[in-house]
Amino acid sequence: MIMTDAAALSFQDIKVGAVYEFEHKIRKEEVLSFAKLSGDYSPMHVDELYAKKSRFGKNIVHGMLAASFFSTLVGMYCPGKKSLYLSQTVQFKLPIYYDDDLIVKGKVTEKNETTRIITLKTEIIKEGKIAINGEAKVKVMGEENEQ
Amino acid sequence: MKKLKSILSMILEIEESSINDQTSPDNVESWDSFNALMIVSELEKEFKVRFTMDEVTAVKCVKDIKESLKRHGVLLQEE
Repeated sequence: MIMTDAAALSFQDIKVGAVYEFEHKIRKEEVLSFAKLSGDYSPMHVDELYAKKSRFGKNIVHGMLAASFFSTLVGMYCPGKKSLYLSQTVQFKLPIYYDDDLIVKGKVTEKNETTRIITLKTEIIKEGKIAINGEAKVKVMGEENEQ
Repeated sequence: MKKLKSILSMILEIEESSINDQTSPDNVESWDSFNALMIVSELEKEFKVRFTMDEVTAVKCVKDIKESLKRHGVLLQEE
């Protein structure tokens, strides 16, 4: 369940080693919405018959749709509304299907006091295995002037 | 200088041999605000120093980085 009120963690609130996570299930409707938004109507994602004949046997979720939940992690959980998302690497390890139960997780691995940039190891876990991973760099904005 | 050059080369994705004192955001396209922060972060890690934000904003070229590191007691190996 994704929360709807963004956290507002300050740089000092965030500790190295802290883990932030939420659960989510990507439904077919979300995949179709993402296809419309992005223009990626690849049959692997939206055509059931086509996907049935493929090596995956069923439709897979767009990797970038699943990875977009790293943005949710950063913008809503850590740091939340004070974040300035600087970069995100992504590796797609396992296919994600409609309605898979996913855990979107971020672990703070580094904090730089001068630049106020935190590094998060980001993962999407499916059935206990890493389906997508990567690294996020986020600047934590200050109280004043930088909003 | 060697380590400094290798850090700059890695972050800015330019040849070490092309880096000199005058190398700056004005003549290296990849030296944008994001990479500038990455340079600060890597230098602090590598040389175990901590810059102030004033020092960071005062840097205009590689020579300024060298001088700033020197003020923090870092001795750069010359090539």
